[in-house]
Amino acid sequence: MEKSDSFFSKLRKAFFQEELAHIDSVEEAMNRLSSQLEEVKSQQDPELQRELHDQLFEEKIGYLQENFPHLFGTYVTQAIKVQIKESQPEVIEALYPIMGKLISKYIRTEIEALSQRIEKQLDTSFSLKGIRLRLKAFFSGVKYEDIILRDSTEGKLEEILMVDQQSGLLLGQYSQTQLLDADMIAGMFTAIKSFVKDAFQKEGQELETLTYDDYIIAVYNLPSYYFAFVFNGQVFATTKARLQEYVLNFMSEHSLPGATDSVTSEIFDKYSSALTDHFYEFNEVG
Amino acid sequence: MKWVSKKVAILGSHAVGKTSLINQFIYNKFPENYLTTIGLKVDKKTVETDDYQLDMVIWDIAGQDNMAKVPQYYLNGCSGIIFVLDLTRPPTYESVQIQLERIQKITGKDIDILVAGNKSDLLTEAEIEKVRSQISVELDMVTSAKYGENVEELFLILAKKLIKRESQKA
Repeated sequence: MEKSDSFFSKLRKAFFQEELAHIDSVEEAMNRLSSQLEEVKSQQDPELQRELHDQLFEEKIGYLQENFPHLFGTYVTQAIKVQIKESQPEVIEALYPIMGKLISKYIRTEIEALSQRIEKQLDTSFSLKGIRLRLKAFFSGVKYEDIILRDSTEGKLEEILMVDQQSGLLLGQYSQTQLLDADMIAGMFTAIKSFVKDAFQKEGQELETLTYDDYIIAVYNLPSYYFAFVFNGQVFATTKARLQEYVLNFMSEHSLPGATDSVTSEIFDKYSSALTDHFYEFNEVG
Repeated sequence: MKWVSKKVAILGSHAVGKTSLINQFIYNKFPENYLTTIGLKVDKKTVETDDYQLDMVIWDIAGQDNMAKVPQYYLNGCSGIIFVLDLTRPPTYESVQIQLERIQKITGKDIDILVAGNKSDLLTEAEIEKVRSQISVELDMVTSAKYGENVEELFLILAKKLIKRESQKA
């Protein structure tokens, strides 16, 4: 039997050599396919799939986080613009609390500063100034508190420039703070004044006030020169009237310069000391 | 020492180097970037000569090709003027005589005017001489604002002239 099996095996090999080789290759292919099938089956495992998904997702998120401004910046800006435009009331509603806080903080700081000034004023109640303010309240019929409040917010005169109308040269100066180079300011100021006058082309009209931040510059024009009074704070009508009175007194008390193209030390010293003598107590006498 | 303050104006066409001359004179600086002057800018430098201390209040007036267009109020009360031209650009010096006459007309009085040819660093000596011969007035100074050449000297010449007039007044 074994002999016959071996004989048939030899015969099979002899006659069907090619077929047998083909069968072997088919078997091999089937094995390979079945192992691939197993692999695919294992990949269909939900747990494994979720893991693969998460990994892929994290990679993508990381990439987007790194490149978001570059990839979507323009679109986001555009979208925000459209959104703001279309939802103005909502935007205002959203910003209002923040703005409100900032504004209230600013107001609180300002009120604190004001109350400090008022306290300082009240401290002087029995001083000469305090008595003067009380007398003023008594005779004017205005409450003492109101007078103190007004006195606290009134601008302080910090600088006076007396300037030649034509050349813009500084004739005299009174300064409590030494803000900047007065010669340069006088020149620029004269140029601005002249420019405004020239631009509006109205004879007999002059620039009277300039405002910059907390500073108000009141100008008093005379034919050959002008005064620039620099105030820090509010300038009330009463302050202006008082200033005018001071200017008129100054003019009547001092010989006035004519137009000049050169300012000597004699001229400058003369008018500077005259301005100091005349205006040094302006802030004290309200 | 006597002290006196006077107004001086710098005039000329656009980009001839007026502001650069002033910057070099006052701050010893030459800005590499060109910034055109809008309207005007006022600066000051104190100069000491002999027995005078002179505060030169310098009005740097924006460039104008036609001096007749310079607003009169810029030149009111002016004691001296420096007229600057660009040695490398003929249009800035071709009509210098006419421009100076226009300035005299605006100021309405006899004041000291100096003529300075600027940007000498861009030309050779021979080229400068050629340009000199083409200009209808005598140049008071050839300057280079970039390298500070003759800048201080230019302003000192004017300062001395102003002081001379002042001392004659006294």
